[in-house]
Amino acid sequence: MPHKFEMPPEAAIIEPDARTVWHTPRWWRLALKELREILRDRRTIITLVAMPLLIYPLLGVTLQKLLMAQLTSKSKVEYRLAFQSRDDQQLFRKYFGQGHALVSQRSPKDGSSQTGPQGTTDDPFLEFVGPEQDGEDVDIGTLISTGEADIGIVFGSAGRRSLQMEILYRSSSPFSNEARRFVEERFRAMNEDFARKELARSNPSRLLPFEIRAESLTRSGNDSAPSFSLATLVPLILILMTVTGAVYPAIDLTAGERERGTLEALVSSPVPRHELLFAKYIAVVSVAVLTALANLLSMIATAYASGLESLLFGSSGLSLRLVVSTLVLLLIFAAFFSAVILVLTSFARSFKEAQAYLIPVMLVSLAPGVICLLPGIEFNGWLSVIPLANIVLLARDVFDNRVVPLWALATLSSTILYAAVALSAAARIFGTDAVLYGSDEGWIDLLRGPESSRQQASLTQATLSLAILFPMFLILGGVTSRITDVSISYRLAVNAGLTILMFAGLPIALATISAVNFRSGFSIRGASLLSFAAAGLLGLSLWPFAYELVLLQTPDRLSEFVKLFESFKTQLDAVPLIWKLISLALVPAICEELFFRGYLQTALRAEMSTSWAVGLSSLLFGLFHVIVRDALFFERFAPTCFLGLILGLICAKTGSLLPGMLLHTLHNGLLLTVSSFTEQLKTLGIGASEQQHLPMSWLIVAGMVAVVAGGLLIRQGGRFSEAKPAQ
Amino acid sequence: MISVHELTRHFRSNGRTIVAVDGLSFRVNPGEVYGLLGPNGAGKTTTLRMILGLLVPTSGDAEVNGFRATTQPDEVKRRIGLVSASSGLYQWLTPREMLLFFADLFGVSPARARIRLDEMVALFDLSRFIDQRCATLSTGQKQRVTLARALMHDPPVMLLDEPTRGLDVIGTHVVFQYIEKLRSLGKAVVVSTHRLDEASHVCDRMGLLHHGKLWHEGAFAELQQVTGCSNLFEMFLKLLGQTPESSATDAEVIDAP
Repeated sequence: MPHKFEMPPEAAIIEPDARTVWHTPRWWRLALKELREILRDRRTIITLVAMPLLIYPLLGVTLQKLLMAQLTSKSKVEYRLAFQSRDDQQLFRKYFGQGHALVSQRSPKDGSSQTGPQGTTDDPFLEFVGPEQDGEDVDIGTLISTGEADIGIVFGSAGRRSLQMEILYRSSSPFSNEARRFVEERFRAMNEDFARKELARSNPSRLLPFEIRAESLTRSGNDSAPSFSLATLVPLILILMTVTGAVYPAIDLTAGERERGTLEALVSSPVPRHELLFAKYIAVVSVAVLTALANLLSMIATAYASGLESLLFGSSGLSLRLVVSTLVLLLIFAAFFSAVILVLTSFARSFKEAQAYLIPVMLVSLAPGVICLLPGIEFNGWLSVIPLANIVLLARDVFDNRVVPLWALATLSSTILYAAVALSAAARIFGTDAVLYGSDEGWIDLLRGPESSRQQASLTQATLSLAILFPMFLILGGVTSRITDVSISYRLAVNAGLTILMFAGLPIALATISAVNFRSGFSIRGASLLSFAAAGLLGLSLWPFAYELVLLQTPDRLSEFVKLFESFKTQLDAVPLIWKLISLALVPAICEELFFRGYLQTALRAEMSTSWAVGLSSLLFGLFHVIVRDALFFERFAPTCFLGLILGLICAKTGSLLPGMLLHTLHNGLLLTVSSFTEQLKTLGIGASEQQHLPMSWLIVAGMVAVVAGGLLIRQGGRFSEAKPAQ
Repeated sequence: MISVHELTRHFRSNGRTIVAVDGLSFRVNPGEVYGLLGPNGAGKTTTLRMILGLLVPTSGDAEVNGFRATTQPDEVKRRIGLVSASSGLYQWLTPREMLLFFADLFGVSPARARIRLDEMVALFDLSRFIDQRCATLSTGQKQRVTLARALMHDPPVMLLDEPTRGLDVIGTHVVFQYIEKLRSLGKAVVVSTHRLDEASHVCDRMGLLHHGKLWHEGAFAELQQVTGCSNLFEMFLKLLGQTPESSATDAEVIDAP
């Protein structure tokens, strides 16, 4: 660009050797400035240091008090027993101990409460009311009716070798009844024991008809706690504290900046707005994580000091693994939540406005977190993609030591995706003239689609498509696996329909909304006959390698995988091959190509180098294939990634999606056909569905064909990129 | 150097289109101070924001040293220093940190930024409070830091948006000195103001803006000749009387398309 008026460029004004350069990226320097500002602020220090230092010791003390109160209130049960004479008291003492021992043996209590000053800690105290001195007589009837004693006990002789015991009680009082039952049970136990022994002595062969024994068991690990446990509360508390840490800096760095009048100067600088926002985001996440760390440390210290570790940190207590995984979870949560609140605070023009936006959001977001604390809630496809709820549940499972890998993966990836979408939305809003100057029109601009059509989807739209597709894929995949009472053909049709909806319908809808040119945005162009031929050859020759790549990995897991599909396979055998080929080969191949190579890779290529774009899209292609129904099969990752790489390269080379569609269809179709003719192949000595390798000759032939096809593609590469419609 | 060609900006409000700036064209040369004068709502600030690339014009364009604001906004921003009456400081940073931060934002190398900082400290007499938190500074000190901030990257073009708003006599005097300094440094300066007394004081040329349109342009003597008025105040009263709908509306309203 020509300068009409020449000012010396800045670099020329100073001596060359006086120039220095920055050694850190600019966004990092910007983030450091934001952090410096935030950490100097006293309000940050309050949430960061003072809150955790105060709250947990306070909570710890309260909790201890509560537990102590519970323990002592249990042992406070006290029965007052009235006796007529001190002789009766002595008789009672003599026999009660024996009877009590018998009852205790019969129903063993938990190990925790075995002994106490008066037997077990659960046992009531007994207080004797009666004559202080020998010979003194007391009217126990009056004592009971006036409530000075709960029951009265009178001994009398009832025969040669037996004593009569009379228990006086108030039938109207449940407490008195309870006391009577308590004493009576112990004396009856003595009678029963005596009878049993007598019986055994007179005739050892004759025993009582029933032998009754009660055994107490604790619930085993893989079952949710029967009642509300404090360990489930800890993740929620930590998450709430992380939120508290993020909120203030998020408001201060966006709406606060607008309010103080520094935002205009900031966006007047030649730094892209998204970079400014990213620096702020890094600062907010850092403060949130610091808050989380401070809270976690304070919580651990409190738990350690007050001996509440096992109560707070689950059955296995506190371990390094637990602390590290909790921190990782909190980091991911902070990354997600900071992005979400930055969207809201970027909208706001003042501190007050930002708070008004945030309070309802925080209250609403509390709901899933609290619901997840209910006992008996199990992780599933739905919950693993609900923001916040999934993190709370995952944290709960981490504490209970029963993490399900699929849901953990789904939680982490959906959370990261949501964070990316929120961040790009925030970058779009931050510092726009609508926020800066409050013009009404600016808001419409944010929502309005572009006026001129785009050549391909933007990175933001690609991320958004993934953020929608991933939860959809998880949930809908779970739904189809549950449809069991319909014919297999119907299920295949539903499956094909869902594939079309997700991998073709969604990107096409997004492209339409954002006015992306369909042909360029999905790389739908003609390609030369030669490129179709090369793709076809690759489609015919790649499947043995995919097959062997699966076999190379742990065979035990493979048999598990085969088993999963065994019942499905027998059902599938009843379906005509052509229907299988359409629903399981053609439809997925076309739709997946439309999304991964078409929409996604084309969008990525506009933002990064071709090799990065191909690598990233095939990585995502591989990840989507790892999820099979409700389980994860990492064995599928390598072969699918490998296929994705080849498809991505072909699309990039030819500039067209169509040869890849051919390759993908042929590849899928061949694998299906091979498995359909397993029996026939077995008779030829080739166990295609067993864990046997393919004959070496097959691999050599396939390899040669693939090399030829690859060579064709590479040689013609230059010509392909200017692809014209095929004749 | 600034050149503005047929700059136009519409806003939509309640379904109606408001013309904030209407076919504005002017030119400011290096070492020249141009006053953009007009009552509140005349479109002065909107014009400055379009020159800066913060607002996209509905039509027309602004050019700064040969770079167009619509196509190369970052190149344009790099060459502009903005002083706005509403701009504030980072409360928890010191003037030194803040000035170095803005130098970094504008791509000034660390060594060069240190040299510029020393120059700014000398020029605006910041040495006494350069390491004090901005929140503790007096109004006058804050104003000096704001003026220094706009000059840190030594831009060839300066935009001053109502620079004297809310300032007392001393503050206003500092701004006048600042503008003189910018002129002597060879900057192309645009000052927007509704305070007519000070405009004739500092501006080499001025444009009278009303309802988004430039009514008269020229040096003070030329304006006197054209309008037949002796001072800017009279010129404006005459201008307001000329416009057909000199009602309370700030901008011309046309029907929504």
